Parts: sequence; structure tokens; C-alpha cells
Amino acid sequence: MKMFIHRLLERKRMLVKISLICGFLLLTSISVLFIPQLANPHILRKHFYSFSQGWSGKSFSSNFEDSFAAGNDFEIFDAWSEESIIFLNNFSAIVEKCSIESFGLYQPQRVVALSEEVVTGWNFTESTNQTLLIGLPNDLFLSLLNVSEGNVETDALIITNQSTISLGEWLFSYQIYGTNNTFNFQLNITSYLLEDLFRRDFPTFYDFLSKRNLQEANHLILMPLGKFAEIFQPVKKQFSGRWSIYAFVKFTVFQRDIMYWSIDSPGKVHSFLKLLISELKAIERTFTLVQEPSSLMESFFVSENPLIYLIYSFIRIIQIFVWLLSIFLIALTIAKLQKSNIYKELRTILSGISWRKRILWLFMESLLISLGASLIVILLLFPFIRLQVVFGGTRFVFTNNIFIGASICLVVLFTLILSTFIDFDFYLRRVLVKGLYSEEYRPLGKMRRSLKGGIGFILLVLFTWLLNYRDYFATLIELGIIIGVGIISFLFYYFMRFLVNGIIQLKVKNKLKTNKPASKAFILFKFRQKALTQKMFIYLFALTFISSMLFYSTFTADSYTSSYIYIQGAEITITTKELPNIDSINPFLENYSAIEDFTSVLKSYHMTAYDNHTLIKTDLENQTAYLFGISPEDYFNFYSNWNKKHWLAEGELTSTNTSMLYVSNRFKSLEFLIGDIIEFIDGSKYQIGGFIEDWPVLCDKYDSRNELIIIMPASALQTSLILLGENNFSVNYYLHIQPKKINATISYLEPHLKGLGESFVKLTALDTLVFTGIRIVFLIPIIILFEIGLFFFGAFFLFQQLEELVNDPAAKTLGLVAMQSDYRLPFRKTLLIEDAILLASLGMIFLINFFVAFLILPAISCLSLGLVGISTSSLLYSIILFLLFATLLAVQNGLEYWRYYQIDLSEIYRYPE
Amino acid sequence: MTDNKNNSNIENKLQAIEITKIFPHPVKKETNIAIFAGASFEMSAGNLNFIIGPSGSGKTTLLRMLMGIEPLSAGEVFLNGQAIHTLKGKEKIDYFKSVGYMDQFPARYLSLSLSARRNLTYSLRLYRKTGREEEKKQVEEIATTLNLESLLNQKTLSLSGGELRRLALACSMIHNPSLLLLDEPTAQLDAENKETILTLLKKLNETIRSLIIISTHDMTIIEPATTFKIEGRRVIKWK
Repeated sequence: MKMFIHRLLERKRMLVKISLICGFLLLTSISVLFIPQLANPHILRKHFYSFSQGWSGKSFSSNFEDSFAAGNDFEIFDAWSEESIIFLNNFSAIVEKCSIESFGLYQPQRVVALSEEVVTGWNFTESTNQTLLIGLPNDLFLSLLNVSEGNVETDALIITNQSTISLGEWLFSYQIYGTNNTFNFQLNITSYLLEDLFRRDFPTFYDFLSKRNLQEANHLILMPLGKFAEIFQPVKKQFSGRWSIYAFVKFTVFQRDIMYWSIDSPGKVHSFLKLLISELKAIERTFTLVQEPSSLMESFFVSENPLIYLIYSFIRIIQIFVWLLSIFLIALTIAKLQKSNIYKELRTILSGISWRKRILWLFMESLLISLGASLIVILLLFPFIRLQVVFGGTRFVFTNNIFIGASICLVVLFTLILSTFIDFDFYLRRVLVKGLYSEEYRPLGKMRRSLKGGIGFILLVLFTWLLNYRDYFATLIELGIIIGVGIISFLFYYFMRFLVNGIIQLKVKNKLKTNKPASKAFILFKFRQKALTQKMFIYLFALTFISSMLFYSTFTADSYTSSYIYIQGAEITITTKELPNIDSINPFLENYSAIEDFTSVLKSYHMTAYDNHTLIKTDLENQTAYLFGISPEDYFNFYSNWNKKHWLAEGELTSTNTSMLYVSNRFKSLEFLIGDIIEFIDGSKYQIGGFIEDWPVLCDKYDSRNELIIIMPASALQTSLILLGENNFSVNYYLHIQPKKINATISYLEPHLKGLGESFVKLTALDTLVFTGIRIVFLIPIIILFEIGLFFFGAFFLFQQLEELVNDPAAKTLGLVAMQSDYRLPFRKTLLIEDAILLASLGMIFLINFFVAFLILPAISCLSLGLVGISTSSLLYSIILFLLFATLLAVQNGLEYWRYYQIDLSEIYRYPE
Repeated sequence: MTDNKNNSNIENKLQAIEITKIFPHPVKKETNIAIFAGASFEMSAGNLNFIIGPSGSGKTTLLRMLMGIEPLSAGEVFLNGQAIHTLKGKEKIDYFKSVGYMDQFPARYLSLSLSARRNLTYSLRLYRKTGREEEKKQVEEIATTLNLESLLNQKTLSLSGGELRRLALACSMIHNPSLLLLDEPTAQLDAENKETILTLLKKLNETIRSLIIISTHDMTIIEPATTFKIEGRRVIKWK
């Protein structure tokens, strides 16, 4: 122990540095475990799905039933059992236990398990042949009883919409399934619950029951499971009947996201169901699931999507890349430490110390480093998580998988450190036999390179295969990408090397020609040649690669938002069916300050034939024309920022001329010309002002070449419609408001619009979460990559600083030269110029990105990015990135300068090696 | 030092017979470079034995060969009649324990961040298990012998070149070796420090019975009668 303490004291600085490096690398390795949660391809798909559905946001309608039917977010377990149903009382606890074990999630929002039978029931005043008798867990029954009317000493509770329901003794008749036998029983029902109250106080349960054809039953009677079982038990036993079981589980949105949309959901859902069934079977051996819950099963289908495959691959590659690089850097770090201590280690071995003791030392050192690294991870993980919350507004979930993954990372770290130590010991023993200069130390030095590469590749394949749940196709894609990226990285590295070496060669030749002594800057450059190549590689490749991705993701998210608004026209749409509503709604909208402006569009369609029942008088017979009535002034002001010049194929748009109308290209193909007159039923005549090429945003999506479409002044269309007594139209209000104020505006509009009664059709609001989702899905991986890059950078920087200056000949030589008084200023200038070049190159990459994104890509119709769509936050992101990069460069060079500044020349003189 | 007195009746003697050392060429792998070819010599305790030769002649390699960490290409080496070139396993480890070695760069073997006392204690503990009191006594005894008493609690990094050499010397012999190999013990030292080291070595030679072999290219410190010169891949007696 004394010896070990001495050794620790001797190596403490090194061990601390190694712990720091390993800590950073461990943190990056653990961080990438969270990527599937944050950059989840299923969530991405979910957002894209919502996006492609058009109006994906809040929507409500005057028809209650419609919105009621819209919800489909329960898991329904349809099952049966033979012996008993009392175990259903434990169903809730079992579901929770299984979801904790499989997903790490606590307490679903609601779990209801019940058994039901259809019976015929009657009492003195009422009779029905469709009574649904439901057995409920006791706790749920008691809470229902609490809000019910009547006597609580009751066998059951009847749900009714009349308070005059007859209470008391009820007789029931139950026809035994598959036979003609009936079984009669009696219940004393002294309590009832009004349906409205039931719906209000137990909305989720009510929704559950509605799934079981609640409307078809004339009466709904709820009773405790115990009583229910007691009644039916003898019959079931006698006729070998089965108990029908239904269980409803409602998970929260957050839980659903994790369960259905997580990267490994197919596997987890499978294990969840398996566990649930086995747990239930443990209580009731005859429990059988008839149908698996459909939502849960969806994750299986989703996972087969090729897009998901690609995104999975991207995530896996990031993970594998980070882990491989971590392993490589850790092995190199330990090797570097060992190399600098070779003589001391040799002396220890020569002293004849037993191998057991030596292994114990190495074991304890590895343990200390691993513990130190873990401590650093614990200290840094919290800020890392906070950073995600700040940037992306997302949260981490420490699922079982994360804990297992983190433990594996830690075990791999420990094993790697210990095995590198032991590998060095083998080297030392080889050296003792073959001589000190017989070989240079390299990890696994005795193994042939081809063999090392082969083993590495097999491990990579195996690793990828296991990560992909043994999916050959995904493994193949990922390996292909890894090899491709590997080749590109090597080419890039060698290109950089070639460039730097080429510059030096040219310089040397030039010097030789001119026969002048080398400049100070050139001498410094020559000394820093290798370090500079590495630095250029790291900065230019890794960081600018990440920054480009950040650039595109940010602006693409903006672009989606803007193009969405461009296509859809506004953030809130109100659809109504009555013309008088225009007068009622207008002042209401004008009075609310959050609504910046709005416009109404009157939409109708008509046959184009000349008779008294059509609106338009043309020579075209029996063709449908779509008519849009719009105030020209409103319309042109509504999107004054948008460039309108592409809208017309021919003609001119004016906002003031009320005698003009604009028609689709279809009219042109039917030989209509600009200036032609179109006559309406009221005798009014309008001149064609232009042919529309790109369809105006407020007038839905139609094909201008194939449809007959007319845009005309709203007042004119309204007059004609009134004259005709026509009601085949709708009025849409497009409201322009700040996205942040959407929710407040809906709350303001909702009661008023509902007050319009039947004529109000629906209100749809743009759900900004869709864009937030896209932004998050795009940005989070980039931010994580950037952060991981930073940690790597930290680890790599420390790695470079690992050896004492006196032990590193290259750094020593540079340090000796750089710190001579007449070289200090040129050295500082060199570092400054380096910073400026790297920063300028980042700026250049931004500039190139900018031109490609906003000029080239839109020109070749790859991406329609509009400058107008760029949000302030995106600009802020870019500026932060740029500043971060500049700070990083300054800190790195500052530290490098400080390192040389601290050189003690006398030390180097005294210990020249 | 106490053990040394008990071993005083053993005469440490080293014999090298026809030793050859061949290294592969660092660039042209197919060709070899011979450092020694059939070199024979004999050294015994009682005198300071010097090995001289120009830089790169193989002085350090010879010391390593005698130490047993550089294998011979051919030939034999005996210490007190025991063949050391054939040693393996535990026997080899036992032999290592009986050798003390001081490198020409002391910083390689010493922990510069620790005190001189800790370095000495560690060196002793590496080879021998003793009680705390005994350990302290031995450290102080060797420190007195090599004039290091006042430096014991100083950080090794703060020692001067001469002091560092003395400390390295103390560390290499604290376990009382039969064979003490000193590689350039006076390199980079001024005349005064050189004199101090030489005086100490002579004093040591009188008090301990170890066979001391010193490699040097400093002709001012040698004793011609016991000096061997590396010349023409052989080791020959200088005078």
C-alpha cells in the first residue's frame, strides 16, 4: 500500500489529466445515448406527418360529435378469462409495473379495467333488452358513487339522462352465450348518475366507454367487480362461459412519445406486452389477449419506413463514431502516459515486484481514473442537460436503456484503461528480453496491422449489427456510410497535409532561389507544421461541417414556416356559412389588438351555362368554375411583403380597379383574352385583367392550367349570390397575427364564434408547435454534435498537453524558439494570423452556404428558401456560433502561448531528455 | 549498509567472454551493425572500474548487457561464477535485485515532484520490506554517506545537477547491490561537483564490497589501472 501511495503521489498530475480526458470522452459517450431520445426519427416523422396534413393545429367545430369522435389515444386491451375477473382490481398496478420495467415510465394518466355483459332488465316502470352491465374496480365505482344521486347503499349505479329514472328493485335476464338458457337475477339499484355529469366529471372514462358502443345500449349500469363476479360466477362455471374483459389505458402525451416514437419502440412494445400478459397470467392463468392494442402496434409499421431507416442510420453512425473515437483517444492517452514513464516502470519491474501486486496496482489506478472520470461526468452532465433545455426546450429521460448504456460505457472505459496498462506491461517484459530498443511502444504492438484492422472491423460490424437489433439491411447501410465518411475524412486530411507541405516546399524553394535567410514566421511555421495540419483538420472539417448543418437546419426550419404561411395564407382561419356573418364578425375581429390584419374570402363554385340558375354567363357550358370574392385592396395589402410578380402569367394586378377580375390559365387555353368581358346574372360585366400563373395563397390550392377559377371583388360576388338566393358558398377569414398570440386569440374568438350557431363551421389555427418540432428535430442533433465536438476538442487539447513540456521534444523545440525574446512577437502574430485565417474560413463557409441556400438552390428548385423567412432567433444562433468559434480559437491559442511561456529553460537544460 | 558488512567476505567478480552485440540497421533492415564482436574482459570489486570510449561506441549498451536487460547476440557473462546471460524467470529477477543502476539522465528514474527522502524510501521499498524505523535508519545512513542529509526534505526538482546525481547514486545503491553500474555519473557537472562525486565513489568503494563499473568519457576522473576502453568492437584494458 505504501508503494502504491508513493506511486500515486508520483503520478498524480498525470492521473488527474487522464481522468479529465477520460471524463470528457465518457461524457460524450454517454451524451450520445440521449440522441435517439432527442433527435428521434419517429418524432421527426410525426412532425412531418402533422406538417403534411395541412392544418395541423387546433381545430374545433360547432358539431360536438365530430370533435368527440376525433380522439383516438387510448390503448384498448380486449381479452377474456375463464376462471375469474377479480384480478382486474390489480390491473392498474400491473400496467404501471410493466411500463416502469419496459419504458421507465410511472403512472399512466388513466387505467380502467372492466368486464361487461349485455342483459335484459326491467323494473316496475321500465324495461329494456339492451342493458350494458359493467363490473368496475371498487375504487372507481366508489368515486362514481360520490357524485351520484340517491342512496349510496346500492348494488349498482345507473347512468341516465333523466332524473326521473325509476330506482329500486331491478330484474335482469341474461342469455347464456351459445345456449337458449337464461339466467335471472335481481339488483337493488338506489342510485343514479346523470350522463352530463358523468361526461363532465369523468371525461376520460366516458370516452373509454364510448368506444364500447355506449350509444347502442339503452341503459348503462355500473357495479363493483366483486358483486359482478358473484352474480355471474355460478353461470360461467356451469356452462364453461368466458368472462369478457376490456381494459383501457391512457398514457400522457409525453409517455406516448416515448413509447411509440422512441427509436427502439418496436422491441420495447413487444417486451411490454409480453410482460403484461405474463404478469396477468400469473394472477389468472386463463387470461388471454384477443387483440393487441392498435396504437402500440403502430410502432412496428412505422419502423419499416425507409426514411426512418436512414435517420436511424445517421443516429447510429454518430453514436458509433463518438464511441470509436473515444476508445481510440483513451488508448492513445494511456499509451502516451506510459511512454513518458518507461524508465520508471522498467525500474519497478526490475526490482522484482510480483506480477500479482503489479496487476493490483494497475487495477487500482484504472479504478481511480474511472472514478475520477465518472465524477467529471456527474459534474458536467447537469450543465449539459440544462444546455439542451435552454437551446431546445427538450428534456432528457433516464430510461433503463440509458442507465445500462452508461454503465456499459463506464465498464468499457475501465476495461480499456486496465487493458492498455497491461498491454504496456507486456511490452516492458518484451523489452527486458529483447532489449530496450527492440521496439517502439504502440498499443497492441505485437499484433500485425492487418490483424488489428481486421479485428476492429469485425467488432465494428458486430457492434453495428447488435445496435440495430440484428437488422442486416440497416447494418449494411450504416457500414456503407461509415466507410464512405472514413474515406472522405482521410482524403480531406491528406489534402490538408498536402496543402501545408506544398506551401512549405514552395517557400523553401523560393528561399533557396533568393538565397535569403528564412524569416522568423517561416521558422515558426516549419516547427508547427504537424500541429497546424491537425488543427486545420479539426477546425475546418469538424467545426465548419457542424456549423453548415446548423445553418441549413435553422434556415430550413424558417423556410418551412414561411412557405407554410405562404401556401396557407394565414395563421387562423374561420369558416362560416352565412353572409350576414360578415357584418357580425368584421367589427369583432377589428377590435382585438392581437389581430394585425385580416381579410375575408367568399368562396363559391358554379356551373358556367347561360340560364337563370347560374351566376356566370359564358359560352362554356356545364363546366364548374370556382369563384373567389375578395376585396382587392385587402388582398394586396395582406401580404405586401411577398413578391407578387410571379402570380400573373399575363396582365397586371391593380389594387384599386374594381371592374377587373382575374382568371386562371385554363381560360387562356379556352381562347379568352385580356380585356374580354365576363357577364354575371345581375347584368354586371367585368373585364379580364390577367391570367393567374401561381395561385394566390388565400384561394386554396387549385391547378391554374386545368381549373376554371375566377378571382373577383367580394362585393360583386356577394351581390350576385344574394340575387340568386344561393347558399352554396363559404366565407373564410384569414387572420394575420403573431404566432405567439395564436392561443390567446383562439380563446378570444372561441365563445363568440360558437355563439354564431349552426352557420359557424370551423376554426383552424396554425399550430406553431409543428414548426417548433421541425426546428427541434433539426437543431437538437446539431447542437448535440456541436457540444460533443466541444468536449472532444477539450479532450484532444488536453491530450496534446498531456506530456510534460520537458518530455515532448517537438513542443520543447518550438517552445525554446518561440520564447526567445526576439521571437515572441512573431509567435504572437503567427497565432493571431492563424486565428484570423480560421475565422475567415468559417466566415467564407457561411458565405458560401448563404449563396448556395438563397441563390443557387432556389434557382434550381431544390429548396425554396426566402430571405424574408429568416427569423431573428436563427440569426442569433448563427452569431452565437460564430462568436463561440472565435472564443474557442482565442482560448486554444491563448493556452498554447501560456504553455510555452511557462517553459523553465533551466529545467530543460538540466534534464535534456 | 549493515548487510553489506556481512557480505564483505564475498569477492564480487565479473567475467565477460567473447561477447557480441549486433543491432539491425535502423533504416536498412536487412543489414546489421555490430557494436561488439568477441569482446572479453574481467572486472573485480575493490577498485573503481571505468569503461571509456567515444560517444556512440556502446558504453551504455555494455552496461545494459551486464545488467541483463540487453540480450547478447553471442558470448557469455558471469557474475561470481553465475552465468547471467542464460537467466530466466525468478532467477533473472533475483539477479536484477542484486544490481544497482544509475542512468546518465537521473530524471528518468527519479520522481522530480517528490522529496529526496521519498525517492530514497521508494527505492528501498522496491527491493526490500523493512520496518518503518529500520527504513528511516537506512535512508539517513546513506544520506550521510553521500552528504545528502540537509537535502532530504527538499523537492527533487529544486536540487542542483550535482545534488541530483548524488541522490540518483544513493537510490541506485540503497538496496546494497553486488553490482553497481553507473552511466556517466559526472556528465554535465562542473569541476567541483565532479570532484565531490569522485571522492564519494572512492569512499564508497572502500566501505562497500560491490563491484562498481562506471562508464564515462571524462578522462579526468579515471584510474588508468582499472580502466577499459571500447575500441574496434572490443573491450580492452587501457593501460
